[in-house]
Amino acid sequence: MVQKKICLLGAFAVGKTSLVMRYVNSIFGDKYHTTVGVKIDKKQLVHDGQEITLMIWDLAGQDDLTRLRTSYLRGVAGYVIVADGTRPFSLNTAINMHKEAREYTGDVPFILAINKADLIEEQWQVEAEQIKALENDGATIILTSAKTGDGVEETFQLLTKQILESESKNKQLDDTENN
Amino acid sequence: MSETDLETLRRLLLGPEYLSVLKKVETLDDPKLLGQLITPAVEEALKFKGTTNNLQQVLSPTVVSALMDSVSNDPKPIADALYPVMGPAIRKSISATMTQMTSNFNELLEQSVSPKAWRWRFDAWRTGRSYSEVVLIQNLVFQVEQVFLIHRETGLLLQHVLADTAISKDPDMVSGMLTAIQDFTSDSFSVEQNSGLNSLKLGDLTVLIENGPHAVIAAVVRGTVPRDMQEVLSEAIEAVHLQEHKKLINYSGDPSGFIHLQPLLSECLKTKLISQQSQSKAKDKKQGSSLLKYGIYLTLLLLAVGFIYNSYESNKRQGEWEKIQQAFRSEPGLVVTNTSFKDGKYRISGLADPLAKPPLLIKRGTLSNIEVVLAFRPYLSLEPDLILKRIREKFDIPDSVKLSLNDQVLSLTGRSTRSWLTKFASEASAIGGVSSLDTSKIDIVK
Repeated sequence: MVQKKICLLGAFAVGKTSLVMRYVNSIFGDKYHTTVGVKIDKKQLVHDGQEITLMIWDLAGQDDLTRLRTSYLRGVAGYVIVADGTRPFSLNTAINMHKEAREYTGDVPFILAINKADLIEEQWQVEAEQIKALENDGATIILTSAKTGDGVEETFQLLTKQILESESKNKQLDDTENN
Repeated sequence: MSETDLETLRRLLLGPEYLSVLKKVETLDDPKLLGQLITPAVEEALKFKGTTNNLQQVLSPTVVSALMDSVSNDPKPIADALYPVMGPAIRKSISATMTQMTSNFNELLEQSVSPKAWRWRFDAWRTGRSYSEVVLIQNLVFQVEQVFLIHRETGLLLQHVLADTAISKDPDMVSGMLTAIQDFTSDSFSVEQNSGLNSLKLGDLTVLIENGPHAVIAAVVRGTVPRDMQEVLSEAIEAVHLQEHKKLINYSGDPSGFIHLQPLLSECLKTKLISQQSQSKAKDKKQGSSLLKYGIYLTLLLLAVGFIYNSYESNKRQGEWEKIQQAFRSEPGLVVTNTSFKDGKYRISGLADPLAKPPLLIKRGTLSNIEVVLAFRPYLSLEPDLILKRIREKFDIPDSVKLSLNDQVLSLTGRSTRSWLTKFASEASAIGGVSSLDTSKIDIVK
């Protein structure tokens, strides 16, 4: 069994906590967000026959006034940034947050989850071109819905895959350097 | 050119150094001379210290393997050499174990007979818990319930140990949250780098945290935290870093590489009982006074037992003594004139008909172990049974004649010859206790 620390970032009310609630084991309540600013959940999954335990640090929602608590990002193997597809502004926050996190974590895998995909027919505000542009910049984007559960499991599976791949790549690099 | 000429030529060409070089070459070829030459050099090399690669370090693997070879070939010489060292060491260890055992035994004794123990037994019965549980709770000063070893960088749990009696929620998440809280406090209140939270307190529960550069050890303590606990933890985290420094730096999330640290963490799972604490506080004093106390207890106990035994015994003897007297008094042909208990001896005196049951047999018949001095003097009893016995002994009475004695009248029934009856009648009147003879129921046969 291998354990990995990942973080969940995003603006206020994008549905980060709802997104994971049904998919993780948790012993801590939501009040930790307002007190300590983070809540830790656990998600166990299997990738390529290997058991992986993700320790998910669900960080409290950010906006322009609150700074990202970067110390919680220490030692992450990857992160998920959540944005709200019905609020384009949350995507901007997500992009800013990603830039800020990047400075601290370095080049670790991440996934941009655009949540509330169940409302894609009605109140969706994110343009397909915008998503395309982000993808061209190298971002992995998954449309998710906390309501229906669409894309949630996939997000964690994909992130795990990327984490393990990037680790084996780094290891190979190290080995060639050492040789 | 002959060999001597060549030799001369060599000397001329090479000069006086030739001889000394020649000597050195000879020395190199002769192991004996070479040994003499290098011995002082080896001695100096062994004395020489200070550089990283001194001779001792180089030699030590060789010495170790030589020693191992020697032991595997024949262990006896090494065993003989070690014998004088091993003996005292083993004795010391045994004596330490014995001391420990005695002190444990003392404690057990104290706890099992004291009034406190009875109260605990009562509590256990009343609350339906086992006695040992009650004792544990009453005696518990503190218990280290769980110990977490956490990777500092990621907050991932490396290892976790739990006391037998404690319960734990998901330690992975707790470990993460502990790290988060550490980060939270150091973010919120600007503190020095590397000086994280040292303890959290909640009721009688304390979480002690000791930070290392790459790992954190956290112990959950219930009860009064002992003063040396933080030290125990810091020693443990130092040992972890010493052993696994590299693995901690390159940790990739697989905790199985740290499983061998379990015993180290288990050492931090301590439990302390009240009695141990007070014992260590005033050990000598307590030992002295408790010995005295036991002495007094023991004496009182012995006295009480002695007293009870004594009174039981004397009661028993008194009963037996009365039974013996009764047996003597009710025996026909025996008259008890005096019974006494004097100078630890029981005594019965009186009169005994020679035809009565012997006093010694009567005493045996009571099956008593009491020793009784018997002093009986002979006499003739006028008890009807004994008179009849005496008559039967004195006269040759035919089987066909039956005797009975009633109010000093001796009655004969059955059949007899006239001659026998006449003889009997003339002599029977002389028997003590018989005043007249009734022969009316005798059939005379010829």
